[in-house]
Amino acid sequence: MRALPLTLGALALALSLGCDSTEEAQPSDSGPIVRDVGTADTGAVADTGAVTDTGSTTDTGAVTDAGTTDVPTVDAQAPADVTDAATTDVAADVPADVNCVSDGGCYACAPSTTAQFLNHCTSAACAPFNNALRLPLLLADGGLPPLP
Amino acid sequence: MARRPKTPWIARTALAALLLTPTAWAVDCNTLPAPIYGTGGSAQKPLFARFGARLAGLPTPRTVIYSSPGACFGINAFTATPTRMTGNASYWSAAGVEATCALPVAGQLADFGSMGNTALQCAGITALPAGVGDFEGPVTTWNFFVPVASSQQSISSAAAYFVYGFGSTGNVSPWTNDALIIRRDENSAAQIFVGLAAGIPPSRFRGVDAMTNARSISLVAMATTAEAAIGFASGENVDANRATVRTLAYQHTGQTCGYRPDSTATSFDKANVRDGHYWLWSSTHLFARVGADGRPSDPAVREFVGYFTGATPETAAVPTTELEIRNGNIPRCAMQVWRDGDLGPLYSQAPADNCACYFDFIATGSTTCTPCPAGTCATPGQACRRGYCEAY
Repeated sequence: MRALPLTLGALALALSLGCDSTEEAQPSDSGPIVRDVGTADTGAVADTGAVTDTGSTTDTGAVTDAGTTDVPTVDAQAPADVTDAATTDVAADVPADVNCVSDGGCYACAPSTTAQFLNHCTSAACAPFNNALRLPLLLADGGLPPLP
Repeated sequence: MARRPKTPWIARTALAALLLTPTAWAVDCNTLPAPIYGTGGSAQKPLFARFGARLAGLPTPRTVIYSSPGACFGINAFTATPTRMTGNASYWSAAGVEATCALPVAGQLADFGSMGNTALQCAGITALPAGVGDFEGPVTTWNFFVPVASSQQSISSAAAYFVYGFGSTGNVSPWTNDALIIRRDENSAAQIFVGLAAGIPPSRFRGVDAMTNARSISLVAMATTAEAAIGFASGENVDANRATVRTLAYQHTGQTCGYRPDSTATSFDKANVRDGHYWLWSSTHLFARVGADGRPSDPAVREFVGYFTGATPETAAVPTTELEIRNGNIPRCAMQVWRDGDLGPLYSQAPADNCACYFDFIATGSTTCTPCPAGTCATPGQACRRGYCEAY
């Protein structure tokens, strides 16, 4: 499998395009959705490959099956490619593997960067917030205007 | 008939008011058994309540005395011109009952400070003061929340920017009523973290200052228009009030969906924090004066701070890990990810003292892990820790 360079911004876009199409209607949300990945891991995972399965959550909305995730190995130290410059913004240039973006739009390989952790496939319920639909002051390019 | 003179009534009323004030009735803090004084954020108050009760119940009791005027007071108490604790402070009996005691009129120097953020986030602090140590404790989440009657399910970092940076003019329906947008002040760790995540300077928040985590919750819970109300506070405070408020899923910049700290709205597993899906969390910071070895110089403070760092071994009387989990915190041993600094990048971690199974059992009441009452696990690689076969 050949890893292709991809910025986190592009990863986020790819994930967004592939993400569940269920979005909340303004002003209320459509309720939580479950991104079912089958054997999602939420417990600490060691090299032994043991996986803690949190079990399936209540399916209250659209379900995206991302397939079975790879069993990630947990590094004891920070990954070498942690290059996020901003403290709270994950949109930094970090190589990613497009082959790890599942059909469901989540990140299906072992996460090692902030964006990958945030978008990692999981069985946990999530509830999207549609910025484009609900934020009338959002700039055309998706940016934020200065504070008044 | 002659009218009665009013002066005696006024005097009696004044005397009654004086006698009924908390200060007049509060015991002198310095008369309590082996007091340890702390100050800082209100987020940590429930945690110190649990430890305070346990320490008060020891054969040689200690009294944890804590005041929570705001997170940054936790470091302001250790600067070159330290802010002293004044007025009344809370302490807890062995039964866990909170009471108040009166601090010295001239003020009391704190033995430890506590807050959810690092010192550098506080106004006027450019470096950790000399001779002061910063010790990391368990994880706290920072939660946006709404009344249970609200239909809202999630909020994004951009939405938070408009709600709290613009107020009603941000036009983020349904949060368009400034009186129902509940905030804190710039000394609050909750506001500091929301500001960091959303890109709002802590001093420029719009809305109503609730003063404490607890009051943020009560103001939102009692909002006349539930749909328009929103606030933020520490997760353990919000979790303790799920009957009246509900945590929103949070969708950070670059994230394609919003997540709550827990895997579902009704669970307490903190799964999304532990595996890196939930962005708004930090480790608790405790501050204390240290010696040349970097440890708290006062033995009693060293022992107390050590409970949270792991330097003080947990015992049956003070089961540190269990107390932290039951309070809604996450010990580092249950985290799969970690970060350095305030909302720093996430990275994988495999804690040496893995307690993932134990966390699930204490936090949710059940675990799929195998119990190991005999102290051993049959599966190769697994380790018996705290009664359960952990993955390693």
